[in-house]
Amino acid sequence: MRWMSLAGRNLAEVLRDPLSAGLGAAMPCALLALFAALGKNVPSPQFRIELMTPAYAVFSFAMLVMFSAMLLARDRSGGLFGRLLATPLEPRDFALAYALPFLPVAALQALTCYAVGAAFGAPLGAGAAVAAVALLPAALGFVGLGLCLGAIFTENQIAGLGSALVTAVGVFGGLYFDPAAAGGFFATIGKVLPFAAAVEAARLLFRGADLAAAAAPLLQTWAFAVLALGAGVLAIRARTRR
Amino acid sequence: MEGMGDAAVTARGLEKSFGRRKALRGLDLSIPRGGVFGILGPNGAGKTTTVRILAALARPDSGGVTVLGHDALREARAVRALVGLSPQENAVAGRLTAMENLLLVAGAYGLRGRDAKARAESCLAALGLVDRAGDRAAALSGGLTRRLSIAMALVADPPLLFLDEPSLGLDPEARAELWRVIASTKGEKTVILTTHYLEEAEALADRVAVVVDGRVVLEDSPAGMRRRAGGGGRVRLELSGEGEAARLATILAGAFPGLRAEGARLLLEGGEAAGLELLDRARAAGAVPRGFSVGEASIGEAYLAAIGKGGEA
Repeated sequence: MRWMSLAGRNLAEVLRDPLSAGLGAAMPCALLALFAALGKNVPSPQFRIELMTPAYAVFSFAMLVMFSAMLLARDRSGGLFGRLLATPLEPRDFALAYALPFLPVAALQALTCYAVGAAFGAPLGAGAAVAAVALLPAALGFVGLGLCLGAIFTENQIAGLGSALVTAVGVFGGLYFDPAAAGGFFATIGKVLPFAAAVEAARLLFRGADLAAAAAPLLQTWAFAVLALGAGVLAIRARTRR
Repeated sequence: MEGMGDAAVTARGLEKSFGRRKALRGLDLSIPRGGVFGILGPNGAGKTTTVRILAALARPDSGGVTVLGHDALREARAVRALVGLSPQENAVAGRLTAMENLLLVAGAYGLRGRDAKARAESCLAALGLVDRAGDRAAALSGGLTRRLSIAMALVADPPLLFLDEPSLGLDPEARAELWRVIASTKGEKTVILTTHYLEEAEALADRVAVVVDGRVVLEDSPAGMRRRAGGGGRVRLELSGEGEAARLATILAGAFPGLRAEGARLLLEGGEAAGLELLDRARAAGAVPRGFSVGEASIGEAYLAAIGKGGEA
């Protein structure tokens, strides 16, 4: 299990960067708190806490794009990735080591959002736990996107691309408004991209709907996760090709 | 060292291109086991490309490589399990401590638990990093980071080590300590080092290959290279210009067989007595010497000749 030493190191890299880790967890929570406060003064369905809490938990997964992309890009530019290529680690070891450490990070982010949501009155029932578990694959999908970026682009490029992607998740995930309401091109983009489906699945499950009721958006989310993680693994494998 | 036994690494006819640029043009090498083999060459000669291919990090366009009995192209994983690499850049994990960096690499080679910790502690001690074991790598100075990088190459105790510019950034004391560590591996490990420091190759290497434009143009022991450069004593007389040197070389050729002009200086194989006589005669012939020295020939002259700057090797 050689990949575990690199996986341990990758997790340490995230946790030992308190500023980035803090921002990654704090930003979705800050937005959640902001819109929860807004919802008290602006009675709109969009700002109901039981809808926003699972949505921002999913949004927090999008921050993993930046974490995973930056880590891989930094390792490539700093030479550590090259050094590790000289060891007996295989491409699957690299893929596992750069993807799996972000699962506990994702779980922690989701729990943090739930805690903030609960502070503003979100009910945390069994549905919350089901939503968290069922949407963890989405986290791996975002990690996969990050690995694609990290395998291809430099750290400077990732800062811009990653920010754009996180913004797109927020907009097309329906965090700020329903993209269907925009109509036309934007509504189509919202339907095609998996972000709104992930948010919809999270919302349904959080409120106690069973898996069958959330099947359609959940399957779209899992399909995204499989494709994105697969792309990330292929991107890493391409970089490990000697 | 000649007669050291079978080869640790053999490379035959290596060719490698990057786009239109040909980095290797039929490079051949045979590196004996158990010693230190130096690879010298100017920038862009193909040294790093050669090391990457030998370490199974890159594939040549054509040619073959055998590393410790394994075909590096077909058994790359087996080769990498036997190789430790210290790259030219200080490739360390900045947020991990020195100890954790060593454990990271040890784990990649399959070392665990007490074995890994014992190896890591041994490497920290060998490279003088025991006091900094708990410090994050990003907090170490450039020289200490370099030592950590080399320790990471050693931690899995591989029989074959690649050290790419190991002394880069080290102060003289640290460099001497590193040389001691490298020298102590002789007999147990095979070390292949690339370096720009000729004195490093001279001090450490049992054999040296000079790579120029993707080919090995010279391969010899440091003693052999010194012989090529003129053996034991070497007199150098610096003059005012090339014309002056050429004039005196002609006038004094009869008195000093082997005297030759090289740029603005005269070179003669010989000791102090011969040098003083040359100095006297040059002055008598009207020369105003700018510098004078008598010393042992170094591999530097053979190296410069090999890369095409200063006569024949």
